[in-house]
Amino acid sequence: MGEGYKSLALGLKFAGGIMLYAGMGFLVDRKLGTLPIGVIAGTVLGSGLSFYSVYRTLTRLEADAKAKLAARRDGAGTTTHEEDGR
Amino acid sequence: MSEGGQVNVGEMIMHHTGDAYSIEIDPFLHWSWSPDLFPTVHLGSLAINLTPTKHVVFMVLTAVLVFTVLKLAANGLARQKAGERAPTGFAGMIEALVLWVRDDIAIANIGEEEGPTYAPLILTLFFFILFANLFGLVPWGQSATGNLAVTAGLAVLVFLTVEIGGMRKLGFGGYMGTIFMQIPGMKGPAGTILAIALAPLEILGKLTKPFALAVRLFGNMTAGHFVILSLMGLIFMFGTLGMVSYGIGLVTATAVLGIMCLELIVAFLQAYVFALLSSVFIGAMQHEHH
Repeated sequence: MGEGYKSLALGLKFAGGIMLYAGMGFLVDRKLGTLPIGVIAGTVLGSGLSFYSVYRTLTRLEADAKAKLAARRDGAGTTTHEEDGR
Repeated sequence: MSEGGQVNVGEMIMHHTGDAYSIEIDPFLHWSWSPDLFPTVHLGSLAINLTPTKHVVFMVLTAVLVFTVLKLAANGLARQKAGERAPTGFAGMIEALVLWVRDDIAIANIGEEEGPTYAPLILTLFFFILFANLFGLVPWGQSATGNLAVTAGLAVLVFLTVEIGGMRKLGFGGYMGTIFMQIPGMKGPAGTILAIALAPLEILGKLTKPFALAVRLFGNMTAGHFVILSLMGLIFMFGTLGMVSYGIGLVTATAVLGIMCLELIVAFLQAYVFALLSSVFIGAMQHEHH
């Protein structure tokens, strides 16, 4: 239960990452007076990094899930929990 | 409601869901107080008004109610256990809920080892949110969870638990590893630069989870109240149509009854979802590896 929820706020991370880097580009622009360049570079950079970050999180979650599944198949029945008597 | 059948429905909805320095138990009691009842605290340029509002009063009421109900159930349970009897009645129901939250939400998602440590927090969150949600469905009641500040406060609590719990479990170096990710197959300066470039995103990822928690709970509770009040508003909008208005009233009341039943489910569901996701986030941080 609850396995898939680990990637719940990933969409917000993706969208927020692009905006974060675009905002950083804007701040750089305002300081140097090169207005459109920094925002464009930030957006492109942010898109790439956000995509990579989300991709990495998802591949790691997939690897974890696969490892857990394999462990369950090997030691069948060892993961049942009977703690009601505690 | 106002005279002459003319009601501003939007205003009525905002009046019933918004925060205020007053409590109304129509038609018996109208109690309002000055916003300057408590001194204002200045933190730098920030002025914080410490006067309790309607939602604060209901939040405290909810907390007192949770404590009373669970304490009574625990006492009843202790009495029944002392008499060598199986738990029955109200105490048995609360015990079943507590065991379910502890075993199937907290321990199942955080882990066999760390689960029992965090189970009390998850239980507190579950029962507080459940009672606050249900408080909005009783007459004259208000849900404290229909206020973004309350849900944000709960989310900040979860955020701090996740991060501090992670720091304790992983150590400072291991915790920093969750911000500066090691990139597989990339060594040397390129990997370092990429790790630093990804660090803001990892921090953002840590913040978006509690943000989503807070907004989800607030949105669900507020939206439910909006739907009910809007439907109720129909009755007053069409109240001048003579006989037809009786039919409209009947249909609307039936629809509101249905939505109310749905709200009852949502109240339980959102408490469950908040507790479940908090456990998942705590568990994910506890089992973070590199």
